[in-house]
Amino acid sequence: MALTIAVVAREVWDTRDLSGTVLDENGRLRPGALPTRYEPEDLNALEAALRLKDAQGATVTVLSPGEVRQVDVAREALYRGADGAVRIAADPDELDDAALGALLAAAIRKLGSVNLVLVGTAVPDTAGSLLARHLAQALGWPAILWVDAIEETAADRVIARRAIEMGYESVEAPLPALLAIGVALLEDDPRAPRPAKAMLKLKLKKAEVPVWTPAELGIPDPAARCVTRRRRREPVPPRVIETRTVDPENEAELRAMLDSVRKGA
Amino acid sequence: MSNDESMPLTDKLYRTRYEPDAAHPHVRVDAEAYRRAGTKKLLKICPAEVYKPAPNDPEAVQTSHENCLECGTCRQAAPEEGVEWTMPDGGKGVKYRYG
Amino acid sequence: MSSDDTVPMDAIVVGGGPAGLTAALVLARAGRQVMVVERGEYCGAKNVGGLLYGSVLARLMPEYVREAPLERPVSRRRLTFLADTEEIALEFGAAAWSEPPFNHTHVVHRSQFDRWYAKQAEDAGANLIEGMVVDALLYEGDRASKRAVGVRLRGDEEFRAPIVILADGANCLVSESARLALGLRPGRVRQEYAIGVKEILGLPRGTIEDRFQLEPHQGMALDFFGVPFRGLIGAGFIYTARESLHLGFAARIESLARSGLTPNEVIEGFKAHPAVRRLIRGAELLEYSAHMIPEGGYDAIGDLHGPGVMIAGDAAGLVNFSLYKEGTNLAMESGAMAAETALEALKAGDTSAARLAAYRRRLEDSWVMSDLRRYRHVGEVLAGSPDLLDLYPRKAAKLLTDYFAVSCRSKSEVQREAWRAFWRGLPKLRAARDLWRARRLV
Repeated sequence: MALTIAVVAREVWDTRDLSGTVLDENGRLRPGALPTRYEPEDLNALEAALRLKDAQGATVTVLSPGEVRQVDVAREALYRGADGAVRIAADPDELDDAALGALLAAAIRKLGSVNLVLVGTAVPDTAGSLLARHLAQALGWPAILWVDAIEETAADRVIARRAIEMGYESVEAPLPALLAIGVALLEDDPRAPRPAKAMLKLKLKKAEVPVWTPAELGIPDPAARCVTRRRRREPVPPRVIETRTVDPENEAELRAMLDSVRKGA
Repeated sequence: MSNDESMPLTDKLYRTRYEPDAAHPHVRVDAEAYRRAGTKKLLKICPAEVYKPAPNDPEAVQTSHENCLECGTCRQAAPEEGVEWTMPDGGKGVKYRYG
Repeated sequence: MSSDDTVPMDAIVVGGGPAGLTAALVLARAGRQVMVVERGEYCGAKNVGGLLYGSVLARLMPEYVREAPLERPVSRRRLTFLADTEEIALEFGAAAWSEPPFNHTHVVHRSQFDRWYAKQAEDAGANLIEGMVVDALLYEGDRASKRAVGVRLRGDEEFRAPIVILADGANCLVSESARLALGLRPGRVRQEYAIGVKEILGLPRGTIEDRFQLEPHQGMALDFFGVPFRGLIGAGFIYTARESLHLGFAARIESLARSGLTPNEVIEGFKAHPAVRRLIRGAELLEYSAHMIPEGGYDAIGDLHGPGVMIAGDAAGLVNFSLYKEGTNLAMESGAMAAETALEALKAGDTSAARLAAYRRRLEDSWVMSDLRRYRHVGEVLAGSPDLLDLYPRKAAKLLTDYFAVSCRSKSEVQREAWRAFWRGLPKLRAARDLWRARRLV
């Protein structure tokens, strides 16, 4: 049986170097204060899928929840070699991973014949790394978490390798299965995700990316599937660090500095 | 932080966004050419202090390409000091939000 | 990928700034397949500017004033000469500058404007390839028959087109390599560059409007000369954006290197001047940036076309370095002219150097080169008369403050003394010569 792979692609807030306040006093995100990026672990998951496709042939379809904010991750996946992409109309910022998992599971069923789902592990912008578990549960499939690499796939099983405290272990699961890719790859890692191809950009810039609504997926009110609710967000007041320069030749100044450090001033 | 007091350059650079490419320096200084020129213009002219004296050898230069604002001033100011400059990879390097 | 899989291109533009995007826009509107390669993650990611001069843009997109992300129009300008603690300012403006078309001068954040402009080119049908680096052009033939036939993208494929438009900006590595490869002649004099260093300083909108006496829809551009720039061939500026100020300076690189000052020392000295300090009080640094500006003017411009190639914008050295400091509209005009020339050449099926020479003729016959020719001596004047930006303004400011000094002495005595102090240490002959030369700056 040929592999039919579905890969999750999320557009997440890029919180690497924040400048200025991101939340206003009411805890709302200030529009434009945060850039977004292709969730890097999802990009690793896409790379794992594309390698399976390169090595043995596979159909790779990307599922991207949410409207495009700044980075069109569905298209970015196409530019890297995915065969198809579907957007799922939902606001990932308003749903928890249980609801998102339910929507994605419905989309995977609608795709039909999918026998491998790949998803990244890290989720900086929602409740925390639970999507893979909720999605596997909603599908009723076995899952392997924290996968470093896919070692082998056969008609009926997949073997994945992951790091453990003592070394590595290989874990087998029957297909269909879900793998959560959990490695933060370095640039020079041979598994690092490939960049977009200019030729694919040229050709797919205007390709249709279908949008599936929750209603079409049989979940007209996805918010009802949430098991957790965000009550509020509040900004952390910025920490002001006062630096002082002390003349190292001046003993009185040094003494005063030591005193103030001792007193915790 | 208010601007009433001057801010060290390292703090200023912290406000500028970069897409880091730590493994691939796009700036290099030919050590021999730098030594031969002996003019050390690079140390002063760079607005991002990419060039610093090497800690163990004041006649050598150490580069921190990850601070580079890609203006190219060093190439114009001190070609004789052995600056070898290529563009960073696509999408990498400085990424202005305001510009 | 098989060969029938390629997308045939009529032209490839290197660099997605004002020049490149304008070229792409014009070509795409004429129904040509054009590809723009931008090395930044998005157009504008590498670009620094302050004022957008939109007279060319207005011709191409009459609605830009309503649609583009413009921060504030320049409703007023102020030229300030700074002495040690004294200042003289000349401020001017017109009501018309606060109404469409706002004298086609706006404060912009280039990172945001360029991204918008890229979207316009894309909507017109241009193929935008962002986040890709062109390391070199592709050539065919050798010696006399050598011509550019496309580009090689780093870590990716080769793309071919009968015309390549180089708009890779001030730090133009691709244009440099193409000049070398195709034997394009340099200008009559060496290209000189200035370094521009800038800070974006965040301030609440209301504070900016109060401090600069602006209505909500107005803005201001302030230029500063004199003491903080310590004899550099350079000047400072503050432009009001909506919720931030652009503050910075531009100085001839060679003069900065000679001074032994670091760019940060210059900008900090500028910010510390009492006349500047009060304008930026309480502001928060949002971004620090640097960029080069080609300042050599007309005589530094070399060949701008070769077989299969045209060079536009900053890469061509098209900056009016005078009091006007215009660059964006020259870049856009040159991009448009390169595109128009490309359209004719493509139609004729001839993209030889001789055919593309029409690009140079277009530029020469237009306001672009007319302005550049007019201000061709600006660099020389400033380099040859360093006192213009230093001693004279200091003297003038001192004269005025002495003149208006209040004391218990008679006015005639105060005035006499003020003039005496003014003439003291002023090299009169040289000053007369410098001032006569300075007419070429305006």
